[in-house]
Amino acid sequence: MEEPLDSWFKREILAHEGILMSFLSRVWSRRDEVPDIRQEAYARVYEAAQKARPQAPKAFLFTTARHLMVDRIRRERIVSIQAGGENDYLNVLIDEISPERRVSASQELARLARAFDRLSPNCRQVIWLRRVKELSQKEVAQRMGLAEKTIEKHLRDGARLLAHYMRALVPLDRTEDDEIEYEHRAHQAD
Amino acid sequence: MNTERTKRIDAAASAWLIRRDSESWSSVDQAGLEEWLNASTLNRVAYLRLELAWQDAARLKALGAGVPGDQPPSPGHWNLTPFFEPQPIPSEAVMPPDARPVYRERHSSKYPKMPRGLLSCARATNA
Repeated sequence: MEEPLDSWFKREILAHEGILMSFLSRVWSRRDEVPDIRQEAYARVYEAAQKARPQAPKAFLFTTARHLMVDRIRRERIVSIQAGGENDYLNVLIDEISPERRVSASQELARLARAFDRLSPNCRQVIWLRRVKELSQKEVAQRMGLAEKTIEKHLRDGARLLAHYMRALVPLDRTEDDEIEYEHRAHQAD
Repeated sequence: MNTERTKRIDAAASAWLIRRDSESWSSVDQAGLEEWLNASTLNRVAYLRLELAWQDAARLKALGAGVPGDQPPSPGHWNLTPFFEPQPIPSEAVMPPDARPVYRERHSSKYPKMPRGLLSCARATNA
């Protein structure tokens, strides 16, 4: 029996998000569009895999992302690729920019711990109580003396931030970092 | 271009994920989730992506064994040593209080831009 598509997709496609993000960030200068390109590539790969699962999933993912970027450039007739023609960058062999690296279980755990450490103290504790101590949302709310709505918000944000932090360890410029800090402080002042 | 749409889908996906994980989840909710997932492959892949992160978060249990009380270990103070076989660490000092694990150095000031609106959980690591 064939493995369910969703679990295949997580293991063979989503597992490459870190390297995909570093590729996209390198070749696509408008950074705020990088998550759109990533999600569109995921959607196309998923739809293709519904018909037939690709033999080389990672190469297929990168090729799909590259096609999406080329499409965008053609459609908009703009040069958004960093110096050099689009082809110089986009035709680089995928295996050259993303050598296959086997990530061990221990490295995975260390990455998870790093991502978790970047959450705010309250968010960390909420995720900890819910996912590690396996308390219900209500119990977490009681333990922490917070409203259940607040707990839910921390859980939602925590899931999104963990997804982001675990896979997107790409350097960026200072201004964006400042923006994160600014919003974080604004929230703490509430 | 579709930046706002991507953020909107991501926010909706996280709301479904957390609701499904709650005690009040019903078959009506399940039908609603399936309808939402089937409405667009963009919805589905956003959901799967967060679900994977959420499943990964449960693996913190492997690091939480023996941590008492309600509080997780302080940032950086994880006992990762059982998972790194080759270098034995002196038993009296598994993690001195002021130890900075190696990884925090790599983990400097620069990270990709965070979608706006979900920063209540973001922590400024390098103020």
